[in-house]
Amino acid sequence: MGVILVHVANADPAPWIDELRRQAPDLDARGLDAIGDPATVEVAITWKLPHGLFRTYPNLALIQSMAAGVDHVLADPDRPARVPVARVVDPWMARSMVHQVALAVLRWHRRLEWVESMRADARWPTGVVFDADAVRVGVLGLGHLGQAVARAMQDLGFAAAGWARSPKVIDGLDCHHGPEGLRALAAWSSVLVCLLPLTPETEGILNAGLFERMAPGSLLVNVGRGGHLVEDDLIAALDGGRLAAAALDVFRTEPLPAGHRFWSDPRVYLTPHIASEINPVTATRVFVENIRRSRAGHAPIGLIDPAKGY
Amino acid sequence: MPAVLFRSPNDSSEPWRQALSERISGLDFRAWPNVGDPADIGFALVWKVPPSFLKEFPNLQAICSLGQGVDHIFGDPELPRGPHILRLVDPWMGRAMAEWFLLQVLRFHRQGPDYEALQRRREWKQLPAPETSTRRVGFLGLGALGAEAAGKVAALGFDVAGWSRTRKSIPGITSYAGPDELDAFLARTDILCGLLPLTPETTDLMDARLFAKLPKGAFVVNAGRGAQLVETDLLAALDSGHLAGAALDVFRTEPLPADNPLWTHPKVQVWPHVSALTNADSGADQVAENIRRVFAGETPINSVDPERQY
Repeated sequence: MGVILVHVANADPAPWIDELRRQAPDLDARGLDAIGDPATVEVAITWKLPHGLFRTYPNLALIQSMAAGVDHVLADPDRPARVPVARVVDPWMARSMVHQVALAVLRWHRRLEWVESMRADARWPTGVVFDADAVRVGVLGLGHLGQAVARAMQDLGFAAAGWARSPKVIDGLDCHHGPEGLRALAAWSSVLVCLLPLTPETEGILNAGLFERMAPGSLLVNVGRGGHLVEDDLIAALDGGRLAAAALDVFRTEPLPAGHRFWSDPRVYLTPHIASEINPVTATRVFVENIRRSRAGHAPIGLIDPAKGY
Repeated sequence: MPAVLFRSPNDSSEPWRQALSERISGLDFRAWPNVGDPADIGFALVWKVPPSFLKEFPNLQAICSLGQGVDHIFGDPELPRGPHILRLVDPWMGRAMAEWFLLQVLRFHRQGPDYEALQRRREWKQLPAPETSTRRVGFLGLGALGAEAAGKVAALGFDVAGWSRTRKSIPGITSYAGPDELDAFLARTDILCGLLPLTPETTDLMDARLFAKLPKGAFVVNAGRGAQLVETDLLAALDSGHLAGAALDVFRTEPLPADNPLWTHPKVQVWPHVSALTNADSGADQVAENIRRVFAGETPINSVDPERQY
């Protein structure tokens, strides 16, 4: 039984190691500076391990991402192709994601920024109409999180539809696919939610060509990855009125640099990558299960296909 | 057939004339001030009419509120005794009210005010996120609107309870009933959601004593009636740090006067009474049915007990 390496970029792994030991005292969990002989590393549980390290562990049997995305793992050009890669599939993360998207949609639908703006001169408007039937949520990406978000929007009484790269059949949800389907979904939606994995095909998918198909006054919610969004195109769509607002949780550079124009844009509702914050207790349950599966020769929960990137 | 009278300072009469005429052939609809002979009027559809107005109609059989609340009718000291008092229970209104409470609960739960302040300071900081199932939401009032809103909040994973005059049996909602159980309800409530009818018993209910019984750091949300909340007590509880924030849609005086300190308090969000607006298209079915029933001598739906006043 080898070492379970736990590494979290820019954070102390100790709380995670403690939780692993609490749930599975037999596991030998260690931080990056305590692994000793690299040949002993059996499993790497990581968020953004420095590139080049995976290949220094000759007996690595499983790479477990600490996020729903694995782009940070696949971006390492020296990653040994033989080692299976798993993402986190955790109901708690799905709930947090649902809350993040629901809050963004409700803020826009009930015009929170407009309500806030009236405080300056104590204005009390009349004749306001909020049309819930005009809220049509298009979800890009129909994996575990995308499906949970689409269902939650329907439960709130909003219309929802989805898009995935390849054809999908999901009960009660209109599913589009392919480039043609993407354009059709954008034309139908008044809200676009990006929950795609970041791959060469989806890089820059949130661009002017997509925004210009949407109805004026629409909302963009990006909870995928910063690399999905063409930032200049977003600003142009906001300036042109095609989009009324954008709720952004992910950025090309994180932390978002203090000089970035998004910070002070009143049309941008900005959060620091908190949409689906990982829960140490529930996620560690998944990690322990995947270590057991790996040792028994079974596929881990959330096994990804490196060729597809998710 | 007797005539139907319409009078409201907020709603225009034309959508109602049209929607009701489509449902009742030969409807004699009269919008104030074009009343004609007061003796013709058998049914009054009203919102906040002046005191002593309704006693001028000798043949009035029913008075129907244009909203869920009927306190504006019972506030008339010369209210005629004979007519049925009816309220509008509009399914669209329930959905709108649930949306508004979901927005407030999610915004407070996901530390919206804190993240909004961080954005203004251009500061990237992830705050510890309380687990959803440990966030206790409490609805003061479990009528039709309260029950729908509470159910939708519970469906998102929150621990939800409600307090009402009589015990309720709603799946997933813990029921507290009567004055004896109010303190226990408050002690377990982190986000208090007010959706009570205005009666002598609920006037000034949300005062310093009630706020003191909530846990430190609790939030207060009110869409019931303004007279249920003592504004100076709320401001004192926010300034002392006992309460963390408030979102209000109803006020003792509406429009909220420009010099009211609620407008500018950093922990208060002021909404201009828009949580659930009346809509002629969705409310007309119910009003038309009641006009038919009242003129046919049948028992109307959604009538209010004059003793309880809701």
